[in-house]
Amino acid sequence: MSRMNCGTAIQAVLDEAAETMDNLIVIHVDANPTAEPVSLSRRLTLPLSGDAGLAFALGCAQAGLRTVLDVTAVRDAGERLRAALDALPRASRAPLVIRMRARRCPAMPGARVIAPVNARECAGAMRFALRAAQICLIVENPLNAYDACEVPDDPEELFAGDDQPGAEPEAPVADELKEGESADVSAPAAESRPAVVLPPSPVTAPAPRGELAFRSRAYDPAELTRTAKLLDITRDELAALCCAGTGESAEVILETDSEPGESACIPPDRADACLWVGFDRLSLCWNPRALSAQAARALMRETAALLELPARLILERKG
Amino acid sequence: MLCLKELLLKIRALLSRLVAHGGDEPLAAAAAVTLALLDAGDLYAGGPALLPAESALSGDFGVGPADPSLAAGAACALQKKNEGGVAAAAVAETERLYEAISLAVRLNLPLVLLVSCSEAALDELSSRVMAADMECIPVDGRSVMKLLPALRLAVDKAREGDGPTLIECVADQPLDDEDTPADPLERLNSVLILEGYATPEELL
Repeated sequence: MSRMNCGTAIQAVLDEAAETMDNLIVIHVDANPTAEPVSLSRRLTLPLSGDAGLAFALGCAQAGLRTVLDVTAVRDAGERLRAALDALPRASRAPLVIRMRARRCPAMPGARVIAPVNARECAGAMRFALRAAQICLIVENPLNAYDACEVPDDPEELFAGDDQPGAEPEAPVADELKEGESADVSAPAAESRPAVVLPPSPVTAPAPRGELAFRSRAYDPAELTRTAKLLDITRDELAALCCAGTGESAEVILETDSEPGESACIPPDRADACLWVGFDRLSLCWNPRALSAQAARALMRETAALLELPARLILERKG
Repeated sequence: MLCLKELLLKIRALLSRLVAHGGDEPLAAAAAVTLALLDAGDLYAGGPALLPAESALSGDFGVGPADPSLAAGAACALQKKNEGGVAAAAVAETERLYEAISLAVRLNLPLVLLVSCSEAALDELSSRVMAADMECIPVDGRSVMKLLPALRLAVDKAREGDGPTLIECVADQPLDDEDTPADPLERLNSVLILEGYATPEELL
């Protein structure tokens, strides 16, 4: 157990990985576009613009290197990466780890976004991302960058994913989850594993209303269509699948937000629950009087597993 | 090492495939020659995809411009592996190209870039590339027989660790004589027949 901040925790994981992974390379994109490129055995500092850095890193990844692209020094990296990833064909997507700093978690199509909140989670996220078979984006919050905490030396401690055989990830902060708080959880790989362990339901769920009252009210219909297209299902199927997860007849509104980085929680003014489907996460805002905690959990678990997305569960008591 | 006859027939097969996919003919000719010269383990970026060179003869293969940074990244990976691998790519002339050129020169990457350009634009392209200290070779993009030595030089140079090269495939260079066909495939066919490597019936 060592006391580290986010940067040192990630660096420690990379140093640890460099000892076992011969093909590891860390590409650091310099903020100064006229800087001299520096090439060390495992580290490359390049004066590239953000999206050129992504293409360069993808080239390395496709040629067989386990590549970590560090764009923490690039301003507006999130938007530039999003545009570049949007334009990237699926065939070109090799396993790649992108590390960036942003106060808001960007929506990133086709990538797994992990937003660790402390050094321990940063280390686990980097360990997970180095094993993942997809593009992983680790978004560090600059406000937490220099906060230190105890980081275990266990190389098997992962965060935000359990799709590695034999790995036993923990459900982060689930045990301490309280109403009004939020937690990032991952899509469960096994059916027996819940997405997040919730405390017992504070209220008894009401009797089913008998009639399925599902409405799709997208703030931006194009966004919803785009999400469904990315997930390779029709918009109606997406809506039906989200609804089917409830197992109850509570009123659920499927909301999408076209502004990346906006709060994932949309207050359910006109519904008992809101399920927010983004490119990289799901959010549920629900009324415990209308929807039991078990039903909410099932909705999130099944939808997250179906879409293979990390989910953000926000518990909010209404009324 | 293939003999000239085998090499030209391989280039013809690749060129027929690339021309069938449409796109820029001089670039297709340069891509076909490059692919014929690459070994197993080398990489070629055609269009959005980065493929092992040996897969070019099987399956679909695009000739459209690739991202030069993607090719530079692949070349960097091959350099790190230190197995003599070469990355090649057909790219368009954009600002991104010069960013990748600058990087490839500084890191001495094993990279061969193919750019299609008109004769009028050749001077400006050459001067910008040479200003970045990168060797560039202008060549008639419609003649396989002229592309072959230039590309062999570039690929061998990259494989030896002597740095990147840009091949400027001139699309509208004046023909040597009036009887020379403009189409690269037709021109290659006439060479194969003239040299006795194939009969007109075999090339149908």
